Amino acid sequence: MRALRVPVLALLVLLVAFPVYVTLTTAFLSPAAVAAGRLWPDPREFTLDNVHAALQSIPLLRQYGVSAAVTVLQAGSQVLLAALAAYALVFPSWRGRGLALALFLATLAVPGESTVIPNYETVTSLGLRDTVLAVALPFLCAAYPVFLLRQAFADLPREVWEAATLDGAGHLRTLVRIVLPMARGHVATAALWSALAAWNGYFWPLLITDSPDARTVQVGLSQLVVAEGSTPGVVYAGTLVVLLPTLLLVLCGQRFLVRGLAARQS
Amino acid sequence: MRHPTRRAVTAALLAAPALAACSSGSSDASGAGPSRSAPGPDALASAGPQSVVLWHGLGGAAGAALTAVLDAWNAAPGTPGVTVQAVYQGNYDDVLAKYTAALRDGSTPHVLLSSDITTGFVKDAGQTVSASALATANPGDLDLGALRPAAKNYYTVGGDLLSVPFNTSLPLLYANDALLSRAGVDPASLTTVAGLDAAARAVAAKVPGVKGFCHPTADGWWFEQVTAAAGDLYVTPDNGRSGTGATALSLGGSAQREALELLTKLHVDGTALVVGTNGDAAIQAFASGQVALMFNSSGAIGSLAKTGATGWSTHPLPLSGPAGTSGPLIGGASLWVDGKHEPAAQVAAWKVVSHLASAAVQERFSQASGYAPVNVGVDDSPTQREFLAKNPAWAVAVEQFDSAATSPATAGALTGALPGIRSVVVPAMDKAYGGDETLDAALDEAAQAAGTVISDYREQAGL
Repeated sequence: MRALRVPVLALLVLLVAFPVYVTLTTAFLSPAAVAAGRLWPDPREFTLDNVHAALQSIPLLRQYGVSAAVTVLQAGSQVLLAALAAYALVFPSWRGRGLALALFLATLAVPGESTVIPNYETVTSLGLRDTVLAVALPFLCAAYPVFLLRQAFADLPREVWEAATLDGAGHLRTLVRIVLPMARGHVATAALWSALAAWNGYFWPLLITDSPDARTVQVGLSQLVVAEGSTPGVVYAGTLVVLLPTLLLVLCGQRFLVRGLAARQS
Repeated sequence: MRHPTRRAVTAALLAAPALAACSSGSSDASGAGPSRSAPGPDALASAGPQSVVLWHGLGGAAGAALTAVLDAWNAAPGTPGVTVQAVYQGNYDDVLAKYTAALRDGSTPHVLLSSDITTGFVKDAGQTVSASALATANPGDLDLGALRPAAKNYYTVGGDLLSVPFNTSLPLLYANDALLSRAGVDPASLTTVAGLDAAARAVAAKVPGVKGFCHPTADGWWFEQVTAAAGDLYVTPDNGRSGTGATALSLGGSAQREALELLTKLHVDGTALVVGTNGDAAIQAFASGQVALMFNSSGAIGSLAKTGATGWSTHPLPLSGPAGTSGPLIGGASLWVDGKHEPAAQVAAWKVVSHLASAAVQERFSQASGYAPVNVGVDDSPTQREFLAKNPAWAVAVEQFDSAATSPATAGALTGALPGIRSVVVPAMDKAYGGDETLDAALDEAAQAAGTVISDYREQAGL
């Protein structure tokens, strides 16, 4: 089995790396070079024209800012509220705790589609349509991070919480100083999950905004795709620009996650 | 947290057409949809400045061209006091999803540019006022007689032009001239589906490593094209244009059946290249000389030109039915004026629509975007003649547009269920093209599934 490990891993790497390679090369090739369909293009064929065209077509940089704001707001809020909820669901004993957890979990089964129209009407009635806040508003709290952190907190030794309580630490102090540092791997996982979902969101930001300046970069990217004949190089260049923060987030976060998990195991 | 996907949300939103159809007071009893009465110029004259919002789904060069035209309008308004703001709302599916959501809270735009296949849905929503009514009430604006019959035909129900075609594409057959020459194929033989079949087979047999034909099944448009080119109806009765609309998919025409059989055989025996649903993949295959003949929209001319490919030509859609009734279907989108806004806003919106369909704007937009001009006045323009002389591929599309037969078959299917019909017909036909199912089985499957889609839609829309 060990002998198979390297070829299997190599195959998996190829499966992941190949689309990235195609995206990279296509983004920097002229339409003629793309049409030629060469797997290993001549380096002299590379050009920055597509990136330039993508940046010219839509206010990508402005929309980058909106996406970043929405991502920070949404992910930050989700992790904060999830930590508070998970703490309440694990440590203090209170009647109905199990039912509350079941209700959180039940929301995971609700299809996102069914909440679109009610959310649209609610946000519109608040007079917030076409604002950056409206993009993040319905997603400031989410069930999955609550579930994730609840499981992580439940795995922590309860004696630590009891010791903190005996020492006179309040709930907030216990959460911030004791519980969260011990569960930092899971907190990072929840933050990454929330941030990726926020950055990649498309339909809701499109639905609730009208002005280019209030829109996220994913909505801007869609403008490069034309129903009756796109220029692949420009679309790939835009995709690459939009993809970069996500890739960086995963690469940096992955290292942190591994360290956090390793620390727990030791 | 989960963000719903676009396709799922569109499906979810379209599953509730009744919200629109039933909530409207302007829908008439026969389901003809838009109101037939419209405000006239007095409404605008007695009101203050108007700001018109236009929603569209045009990206790339077409979106930029539309923005440029409207920026010019705002900078030097054709009508004092009317300004217009164009808002991109995603692709055509997204535009419809957003429009459906907006119907709920009355936040629909003054003008909606919606794709051809959404015509039935927007009509059933009953929120719009017909172009015929607006043109009658405002004789000083757009002359509907200046619009090409083939374009008007698609958007007309019971003699009432519901919306004004703006960006109009046409189906074309693209040919690699050198490959046809090497195979000894006379381009004059490409006027029929049988000729296309013979040409594709000749190329595949005589030119090593090259496929004869490719056909992006992208969105079901091509199955509708094959049906119209056979002179047959796609939905019954009367392609959904009489009574209370379409009740079933029609796959019974003999010419339609023969054409589909030829295309299926080309794929099953490997003469054709399977490019799947991706129109861009077809363009790349054609541009790189992997395939000699290609069905694609006239909108692909620009993309193909950008690849630097040379030695190709365009030809009208090959027909398989009678000359007088068979022909191409248009694609693209049309402009709808919302009837729920104040009368002054409706007239202002109509002035914007009139401007966008005018000969001058259509020429400018067409040349910048690659769509065909819908106004016949463009034909008299010296600059357009010069443009077509330099762009023969484009001239074929315009000639085909102008000479297309106008019949119930070429009017195309009119039903709000059309997006849903496409979503079941394409997978069924892909099974036939892949050799996984016989054509008969695929057609039966498509007809049954489409029947369910249509009856569900009719029930939800209260038709």
